[in-house]
Amino acid sequence: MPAFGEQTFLRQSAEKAKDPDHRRKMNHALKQSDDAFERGKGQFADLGFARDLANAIKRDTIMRLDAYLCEFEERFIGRGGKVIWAQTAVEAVAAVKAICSRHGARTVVKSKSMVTEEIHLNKVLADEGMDVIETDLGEYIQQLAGEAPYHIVAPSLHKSKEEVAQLFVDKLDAKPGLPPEQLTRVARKVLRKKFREAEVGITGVNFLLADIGGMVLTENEGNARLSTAFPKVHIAVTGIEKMLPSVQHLGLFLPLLATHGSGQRITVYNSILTGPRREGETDGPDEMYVILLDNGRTKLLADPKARESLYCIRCGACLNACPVYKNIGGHAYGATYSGPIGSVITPHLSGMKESKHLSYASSLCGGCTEVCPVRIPLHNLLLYNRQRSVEAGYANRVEKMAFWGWKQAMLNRRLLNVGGGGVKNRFFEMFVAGIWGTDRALPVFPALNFSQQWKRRREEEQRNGNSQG
Amino acid sequence: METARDRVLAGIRSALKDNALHASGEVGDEREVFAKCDIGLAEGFVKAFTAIDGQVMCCDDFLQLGEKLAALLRDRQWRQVVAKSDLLERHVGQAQKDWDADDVDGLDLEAVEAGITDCEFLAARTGTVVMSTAQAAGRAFPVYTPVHIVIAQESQLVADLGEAIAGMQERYGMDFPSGMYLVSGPSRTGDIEKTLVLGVHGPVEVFVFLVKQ
Repeated sequence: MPAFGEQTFLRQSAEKAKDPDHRRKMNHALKQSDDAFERGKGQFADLGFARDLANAIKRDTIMRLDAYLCEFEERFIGRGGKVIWAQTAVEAVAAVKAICSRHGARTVVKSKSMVTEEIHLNKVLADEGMDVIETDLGEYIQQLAGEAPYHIVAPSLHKSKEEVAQLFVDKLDAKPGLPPEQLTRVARKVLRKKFREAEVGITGVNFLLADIGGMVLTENEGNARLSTAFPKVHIAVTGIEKMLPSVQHLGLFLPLLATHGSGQRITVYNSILTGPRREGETDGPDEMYVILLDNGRTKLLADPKARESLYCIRCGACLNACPVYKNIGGHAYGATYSGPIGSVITPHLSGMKESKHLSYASSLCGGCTEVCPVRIPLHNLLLYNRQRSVEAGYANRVEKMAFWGWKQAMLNRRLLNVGGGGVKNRFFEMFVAGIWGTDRALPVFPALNFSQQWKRRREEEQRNGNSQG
Repeated sequence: METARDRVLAGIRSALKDNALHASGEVGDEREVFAKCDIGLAEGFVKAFTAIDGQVMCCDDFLQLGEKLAALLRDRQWRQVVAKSDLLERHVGQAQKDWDADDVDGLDLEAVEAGITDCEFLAARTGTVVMSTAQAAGRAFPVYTPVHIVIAQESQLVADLGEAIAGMQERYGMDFPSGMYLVSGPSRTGDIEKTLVLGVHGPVEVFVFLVKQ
């Protein structure tokens, strides 16, 4: 999805926030996520400690990222894998395209991957005449609907079962009114053929493992396993930050990811892959590629504060916790990564000027920070982005004046007391009503302000006290 | 000429020049991360695996395993059952031929109704079957078959994922298999209105036959 500007963002957010049907579906889906998380976190004796540990490991990893990447590369190549480095999305897409063309790929199966959304891979391959099929059920639904994912781990959470049933009627000639179980059977049948036909399987990566030169794919459906079992070529595209120093860290990170992503103790399938089929093994791809993508990540890395956002393991918990996400949904952001983490990283990846408004789309309630399994201080980073954007001179004149006025008034008690409630109400009606919107009532100032009311009450109390004494 | 590799690595190194400030986030504490489980490994595995919709058949010995397996296959009337299990071959072997209804190995994966495999370890806490490509079942077979039946002994039980991973490293050293799979129950999705559906792409049912001896 191409990034779009502030005006579009505001318009789309307003539309979604006022759509009761959208609200009902989002509340239903996110309530289920909350309940599952509450159950799943029971597996931890001390979740806070688990998060501290995870934070410490990711911190160490990110601070030595170059060394770990080189270690990964050496081992993975040593086991017959191929590593391709890509500084930009264009380079990564070109590399995938070249591999697919070299192998005469007509059918490409994909398992869910946000990074391939980030580089807009599918369109390029489709333009080359390849049949590119998303195989994660939610992602498949989104592909049939011609939409980008709505959530980083639950791509179609905004669709009702009736909408999915209708989509399957329209696109797959399914019988009308099928329930979720039957819809899943329909998809299973279509996609099972595709896994076996495909010349190339493309996946993302949940974790890179430096010490064994491996990658981990986490899923519940089995599509990533099938995408990396049948096709003779497997291409994994990953951001450079997905690194863990050791396979042994999975004992902590897999349960942490599962609980925060879907409320499970562990996801059903975790594949640890260290290279193509080896001699003596039954089956598997002949060639395996890992594409290590920068695409702006080193920009985040260079900023000592924003750097912490690279600890992210893409569990989606901050989206589930976010009142803004819940109200405006995943598409209104106009960015590949939505929700709090998206609002934190998008301005660094695609330009502060173009995307700064995302950092303002937050109530700073801190719900995201509270839930993050690797303890990224998300709401602090949103505030930090705002600060950066103002320093860069992107704040407009009205905003600057308003804050100047606010500061003067707040620092001066006497100034704050100028004018009674009537004056303040008129001021709000003139200058604030526009920002406040028409869907909620403007606050009304009482005739006497707080300090006046306080004073009066104290005086009354004293009088009453005296008369009693 | 400067390659993309050079450019990315140079970018990372230049970005991390300030590392003194942020290096090392030691957590010098040995607290337990996961909730303690005070039941035995076998019982723990059964409980965890059943909770995620897996099924466990506990067997006193391989003789009983042969009987229980045969009964299951008869009961379900599966005709196309393929076994890729050394344990089964070694301990049950030809004597129990009746459960090995039709061998369609390598012929038509599409026709297979149930697949039988070995495993490397069973991790009790999460109810996880650890498999690898070093074993005969390979990559596609155990996840493509609609029903997956695992043959395991209690000696393969470990407490947690960490132990299973360490066990794999000890077993294979630098000769790690190209694929290691942690399988925790049947394939599942909640992608349509968060409704739980089992058997999306992988098996609808997973059985573990757990032999005591």
